[in-house]
Amino acid sequence: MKEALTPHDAARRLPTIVASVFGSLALFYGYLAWNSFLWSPGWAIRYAGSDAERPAFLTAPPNAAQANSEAGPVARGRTVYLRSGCAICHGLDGKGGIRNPNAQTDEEIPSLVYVAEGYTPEELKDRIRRGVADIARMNPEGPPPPLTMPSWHERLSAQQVEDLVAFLISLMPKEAKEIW
Amino acid sequence: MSAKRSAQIAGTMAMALAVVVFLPRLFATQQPVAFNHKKHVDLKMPCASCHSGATGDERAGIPSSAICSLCHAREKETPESPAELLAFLEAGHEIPWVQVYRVPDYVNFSHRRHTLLGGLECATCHGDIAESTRPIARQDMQVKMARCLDCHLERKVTTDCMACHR
Repeated sequence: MKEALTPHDAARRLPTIVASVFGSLALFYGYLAWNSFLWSPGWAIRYAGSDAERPAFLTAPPNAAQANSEAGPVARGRTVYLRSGCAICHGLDGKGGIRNPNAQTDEEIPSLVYVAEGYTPEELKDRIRRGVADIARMNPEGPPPPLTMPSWHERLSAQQVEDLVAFLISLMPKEAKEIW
Repeated sequence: MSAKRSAQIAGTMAMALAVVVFLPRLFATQQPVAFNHKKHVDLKMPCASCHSGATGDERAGIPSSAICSLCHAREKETPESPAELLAFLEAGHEIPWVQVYRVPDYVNFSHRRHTLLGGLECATCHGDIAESTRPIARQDMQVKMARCLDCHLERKVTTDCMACHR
């Protein structure tokens, strides 16, 4: 039969209990700190309540640009450019500069500002519809550049491509037109 | 210290560690895809190119899966695509991201007013998100009225109640 715990025994166990409690707290703090360092603790998030809630914060699909039918082609094209994902690679202002490791173009996405010089509107439309699946590599032995241009044929309507081309041609600085 | 007592302490610590690490995970949910902001920002992709409303609309927006599919596909060697992302894209489903930043319904908040007109950087409110390698799970800087007021006072912009509250 187990003997009753005397006050003396309890006092002897006190350091163990205190060490366990403080050790646990220290571990918990360490865990929080570690999670915080790695961005955030997992229990702080929760799923969206319902499917109906979700679309409210998803960006509008590209064809939402057509809603503003009163805007001119350049304005509509700009909306297509920003909403469809063109800006992800070509930049918000079309100046490129997004890194594309091992791409022949200085490992960057080229600027679109001067496309009006090198392409007719029809050529531009064709380029957009087809996309560029294979990006030339700076080092032929290296990995393929991660950013390629998708085919927009099924992603954008004919009108959207038309508007997009109008916007891209409008990027050409006025001074540049006069020089040429 | 006796061996028995050492074993007791070690056992207690191990149990505490197990509880601390695994118990929260029982109740935790994760973002559906292991999105890495840093990888995208390191390529110099502007925030507003994916969050297309960040400079021009009330809501910054979270990109739809169609945007992700522009770069991510199983047949592409690069960029690396998480399996769960490919599963959503191939199923043609939207990714059920969990919205972390919210303002209450009684608050008028416009990203456009703060970024385009006010000239604030995304990091002012969203912190060091560009460096985050794990999907966002909590507000880096909590959206609280006191914080809004501090910033408005510091920048000498309106603190009129009706400027922000419906």
